[in-house]
Amino acid sequence: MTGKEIKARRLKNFEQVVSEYEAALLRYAARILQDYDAAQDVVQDAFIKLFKSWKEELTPSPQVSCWLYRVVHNCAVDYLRKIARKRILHLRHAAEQADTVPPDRGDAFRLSEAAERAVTALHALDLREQQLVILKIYEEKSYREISDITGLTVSNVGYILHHAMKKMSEHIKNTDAK
Amino acid sequence: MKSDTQNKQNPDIKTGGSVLKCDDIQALLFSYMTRELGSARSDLVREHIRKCPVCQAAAADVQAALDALRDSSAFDDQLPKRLSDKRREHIVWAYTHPVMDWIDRHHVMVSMIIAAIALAAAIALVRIVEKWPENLPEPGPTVIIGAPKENPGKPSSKSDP
Repeated sequence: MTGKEIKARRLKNFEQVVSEYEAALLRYAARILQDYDAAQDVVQDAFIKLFKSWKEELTPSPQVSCWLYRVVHNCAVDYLRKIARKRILHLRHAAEQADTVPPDRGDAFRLSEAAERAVTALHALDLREQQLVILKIYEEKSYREISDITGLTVSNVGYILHHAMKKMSEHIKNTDAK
Repeated sequence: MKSDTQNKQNPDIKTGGSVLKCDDIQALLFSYMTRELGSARSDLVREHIRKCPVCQAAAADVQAALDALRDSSAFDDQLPKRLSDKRREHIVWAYTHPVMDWIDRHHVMVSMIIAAIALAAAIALVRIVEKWPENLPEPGPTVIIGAPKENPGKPSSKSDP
């Protein structure tokens, strides 16, 4: 196979894999990061890592999907840690605000009050719990798929989700009471 | 304490031969609502919820949180569905660039070459620094900058005999 043919095949694989997963991964990263630009960066990095480290023929598959979700999550966590360090160094108070208040998505789009409260409650959870809730509720993954993505056991996924939902329910109720 | 109160209000319910406590049921509520339980356990949970007001309230809380989260997915339409063209180009470049690809495939060798170059550069720098004093030119006459300038036409009266 000539160099041109290899390049053409690689580009075809690239288009296939990116088209298949980019929307879901962008959605997932944006939910964790609450920042669309950062989500684009994180997803871009995940694809580059995939293409560099995937040794087999690259075509859309459950394994590729799991791998991408895992890498996007790790990149997102790294990004959040980096941001948190910067905030702690420069503006501790602003960091506290940003941790609890969801970003303003503009007047063009508003969620219902209950949904806003749910999103706030979601971001009050720790990152592992957020990851599991996002995968389960928004991405509609099964416990088995979440287990493959996160490396947790299926029963552990159920256990963490149960506690996460309990925390969220309490958070929402407390917000209602205020 | 809370669970004691619950159990007094709602004695354990026997369903299909199994005894399920409220705590056990509540731990399964989320899985039940997201259809992750098998049919046998789903039946047990459903039956328990039907009879137990405390678990009904807990189920309602979980359901409310679930509904609110699902409502918030309405903003999915606002999320970008594609990577920007710039980022796609960057991925293609990283994926197909022959030099980058070669470096990536031979990263161990590249790392060793870079390390060797860095070591050679460090040795060369040390040698230059060692030879530095030998290469320096002889010091010239000392020039005092800012010393008071004497007028050559008028000799100082103090120095006159």
